[in-house]
Amino acid sequence: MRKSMRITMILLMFLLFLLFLLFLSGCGDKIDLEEAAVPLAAGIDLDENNKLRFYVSNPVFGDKSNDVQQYNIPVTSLRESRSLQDAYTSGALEGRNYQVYVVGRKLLQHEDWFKILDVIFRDARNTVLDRMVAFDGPVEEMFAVKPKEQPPLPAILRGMVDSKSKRGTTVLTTLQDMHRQIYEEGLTPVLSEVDYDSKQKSFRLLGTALLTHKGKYAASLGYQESVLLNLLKKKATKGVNLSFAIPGEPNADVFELDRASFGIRKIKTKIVSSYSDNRFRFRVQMKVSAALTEQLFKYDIQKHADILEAQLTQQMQDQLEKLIRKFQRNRIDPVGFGIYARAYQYQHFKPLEEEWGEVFSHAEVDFDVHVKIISMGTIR
Amino acid sequence: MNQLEKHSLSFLQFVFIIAGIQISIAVLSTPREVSLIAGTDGWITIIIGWLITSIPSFVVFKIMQRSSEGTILDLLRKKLGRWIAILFTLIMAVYLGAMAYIGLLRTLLIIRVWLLQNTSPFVVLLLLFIPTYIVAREGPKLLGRYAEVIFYFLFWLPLVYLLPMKQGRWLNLIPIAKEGWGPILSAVPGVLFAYTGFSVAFFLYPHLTNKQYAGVGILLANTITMATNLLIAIVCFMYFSPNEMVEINQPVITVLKTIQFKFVERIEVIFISLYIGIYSLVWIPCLYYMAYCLNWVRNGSGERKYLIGLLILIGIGTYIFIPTFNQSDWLEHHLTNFGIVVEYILPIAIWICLVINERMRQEGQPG
Repeated sequence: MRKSMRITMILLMFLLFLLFLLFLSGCGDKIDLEEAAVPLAAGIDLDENNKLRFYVSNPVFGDKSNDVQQYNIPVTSLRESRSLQDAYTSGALEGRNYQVYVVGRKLLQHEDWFKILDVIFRDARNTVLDRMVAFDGPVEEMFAVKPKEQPPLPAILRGMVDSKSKRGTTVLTTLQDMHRQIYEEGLTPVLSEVDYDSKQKSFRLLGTALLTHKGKYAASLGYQESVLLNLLKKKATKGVNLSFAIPGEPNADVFELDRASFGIRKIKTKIVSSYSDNRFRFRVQMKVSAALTEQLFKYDIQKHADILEAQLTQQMQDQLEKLIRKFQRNRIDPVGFGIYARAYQYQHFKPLEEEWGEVFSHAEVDFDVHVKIISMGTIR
Repeated sequence: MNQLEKHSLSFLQFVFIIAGIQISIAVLSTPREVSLIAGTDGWITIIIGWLITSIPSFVVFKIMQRSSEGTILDLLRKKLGRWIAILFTLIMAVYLGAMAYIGLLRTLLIIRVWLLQNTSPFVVLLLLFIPTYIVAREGPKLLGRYAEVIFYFLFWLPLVYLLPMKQGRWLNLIPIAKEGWGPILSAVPGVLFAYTGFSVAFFLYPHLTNKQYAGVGILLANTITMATNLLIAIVCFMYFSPNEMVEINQPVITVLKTIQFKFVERIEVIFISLYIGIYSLVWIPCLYYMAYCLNWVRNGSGERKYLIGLLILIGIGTYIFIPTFNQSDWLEHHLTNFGIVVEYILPIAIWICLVINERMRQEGQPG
């Protein structure tokens, strides 16, 4: 009994000793909140001399609640930028947890810019769920804007991307998603795109920016095109809206009264791939259950639902085909047809893996769309 | 006999000790290791490895059936002589020590990269030694209870991997056997490392209350290990594209970074902390049984002295020198080969020796 007590005493002493050790050498990276600067938005871009610049926006805690400190610093690498940014702040910069990461259009004109972001993935302490946003214009301009009576920049951007991607009008690409998209051969990356509307003095979501496999800017998509892209990627959940002009319906005066819009209640997308005559062939089947939300022309749906359905089907199919032609012109595959090709035509895909964008531009994509109206709303 | 009754193990404790060693030794490295050679077909390799492992597992059971009481060491001394027994004991001691050291080392390195970048690994090691000593000094009974508790607490951990699965693509997995069966088969020796650890059944068997179920127990442990590794590997293959998979050092942890909750950021920090619990299931039993082996060779009075000696030795060693990630990979690679010899070939060799030995005695008696 006495022996075990002695051992317990020794253990206790040992524990105490360890506690002291902790205070001595541990927690070296501790920062008090008063001394921390917490940047919530970061941006990278090239300036007019093609020098890399890094932008950060820090909220200033205090009486003037909406105030932010913004800097832009020329850097050679992001890790180095940490000490350079530190020089401008009163505290230690805690740049691990941005809300948004903005990349400027000028940077996107160059290939392989993504490699600069290596530090984010290499250092385990960084978060990787920051929203990545492409800015149509110089990032300097964006960080110079001081939005009055609006939430600060990081909050606006993050809110914009999160809410609009739920409606399908843009994509939600986090840093980790971007990493995945860059390394996936059968897919080219997409980012949400934002610009600054100087008339409205506000940021505006443009839609989706499409990049080539090496990250160079290729094209942009508007709202409706983004929705269609999301439908093809099977990313759009129910509740997204599409709007089409029905040919043959008269316009009155200045109003375009030939529009019909519907919300998607249910959609089934199926992509089948095949290979013949040295070409990849994809067949996309879409079965859409639509609920009419807007119909500006007079039409007896009860009697002629099938005609309207056929017209909507035709319009949707045309727009999808146009979208694919746009991809093929730019030699990109944001939908990820390559993933289907790899899964089902591995022998043909593997040797062409490196140049999939080019190969896809020669592929044939057929659509088989079927829109079914399941509800016409509360009025005729 | 008294000693054995005092340290009796229930069936589940027996299973959990074995599965604990198997899972913790390689759960973080298996998906990457198999994908390096077999690509996304690596999951087939995991299943093949499981089938192969059933053979020596059953042999271990067959050998131990011959021992009514006492561990493998006593059995060998009785049947094959003192020197063979001592040789075997030393091999086992070195092997178990290597397992424990690698397990500890991996834990320290992962803590340093993911959790406490500026804290000295030596301090972390000292903190880990407290529970290690408390559990290991009590012998098999507490080892069993400890493994059981850890399992009940953390059995949901693999299920968390179902969250990133939603963003994954099943299409990454097909076609099956993309490059033929060659790469799949050549990845098998590497995957066997994920199943090493079942040979502690040599030592646990005499403590088991229902000895007739020992064979089922080892197979069950193998199956638990296989299911865990398979689930995590498939999630990794689905989430990361084939080219990205080889770019990432610990895909098993990185994939957790992508889970997003409103109330907590860097969720992986919590999971790595929990992983330390799982990891402890390798070094605690292994250190104890290394001490047991050393004690047995010297006919010593108790394992505790040896245990304290080992802890001090590892502590001093770690204070002086900590291998880097690359060196630990190198060690792991050699431990894999060592493990295949000790756990897969050695039991079969012993079993053959025992059978021949018995035949000779049977022939000797009537003649």
